[in-house]
Amino acid sequence: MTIGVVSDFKNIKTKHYLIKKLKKEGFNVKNISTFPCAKNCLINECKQLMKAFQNKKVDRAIVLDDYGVGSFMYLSKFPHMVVAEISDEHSAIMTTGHNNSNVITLATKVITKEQIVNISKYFLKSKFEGGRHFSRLDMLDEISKEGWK
Amino acid sequence: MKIAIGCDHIVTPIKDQIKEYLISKGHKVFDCGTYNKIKTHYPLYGYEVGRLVANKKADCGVVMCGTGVGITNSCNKVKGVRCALVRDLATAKAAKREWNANVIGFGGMISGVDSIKRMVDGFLNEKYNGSHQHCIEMIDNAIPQDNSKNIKMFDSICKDWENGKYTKKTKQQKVPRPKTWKEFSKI
Repeated sequence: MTIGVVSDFKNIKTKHYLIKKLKKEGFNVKNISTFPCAKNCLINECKQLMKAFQNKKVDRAIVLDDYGVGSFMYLSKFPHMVVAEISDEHSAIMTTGHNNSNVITLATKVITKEQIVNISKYFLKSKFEGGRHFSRLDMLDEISKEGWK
Repeated sequence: MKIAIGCDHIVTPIKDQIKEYLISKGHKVFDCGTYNKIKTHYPLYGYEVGRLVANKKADCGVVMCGTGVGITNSCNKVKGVRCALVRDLATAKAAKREWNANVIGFGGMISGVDSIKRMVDGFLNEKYNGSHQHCIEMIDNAIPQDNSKNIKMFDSICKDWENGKYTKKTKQQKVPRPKTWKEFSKI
């Protein structure tokens, strides 16, 4: 499993801290960035992530920005994307378990860098339960099909 | 304001408390469901809130499910919706102030009802300050086609659910449909 990590320019330092910590835990981590255009806007960084998903370069991802809001709004628009804008461990576990989330967006103005690492680990180590939850994922796909006819 | 509200069966009592709270504050509330504990699916109600907001039948929306992730994703997959999932007042305000959010979402199993009331107030009272206009345009244009008008899209999956396709052939109760389909049948 390859994990993509994305941030806007302001949060690059926290991104590198997260990448370092996740690699230490044994995760296969990819820094997704428009570097050297390092001052690109958040949504352009998210566009790079969408390209990486579409080209199957990443399987799951973590996005860091001030509030987690903008990246959440954009990435959740896309087919087969289930994005969790969260700030606690229980949500990280449950969203993987029930929603099969492939991205979490984390707020650097709300949680510490240590907690960002902690929540990311719970997200990455949890498993999708399947079963009845597939009905909801199928419905999300129906909404997307209408938008991409 | 006209506010559309939606939830799944896990958090119906919380949604009902927030609905009463909004009514007590003088808002007109469109309750998109669900309405009881019958097992159902967050996309039905998230899509309905998105449909009303995107088509300007509601000024904004409030959605919730267990963690809030499922229903907010359902809402955001509607063209024209900018939904944020929040757990603290700072983020609820920032979602409106900086990203012009038109729907706010919560995890009913994550946040307590009094905290949700405070975050809803924060969201409703905040004003968009003109930030991130280029980014917001990219969010609004991400979905190519208007997908905000088809209330029939879940019929087949609901039928499969009721016939037990997703529950090891155990038949399920008929899933409650949004009551707002009657008032807003054609948009």
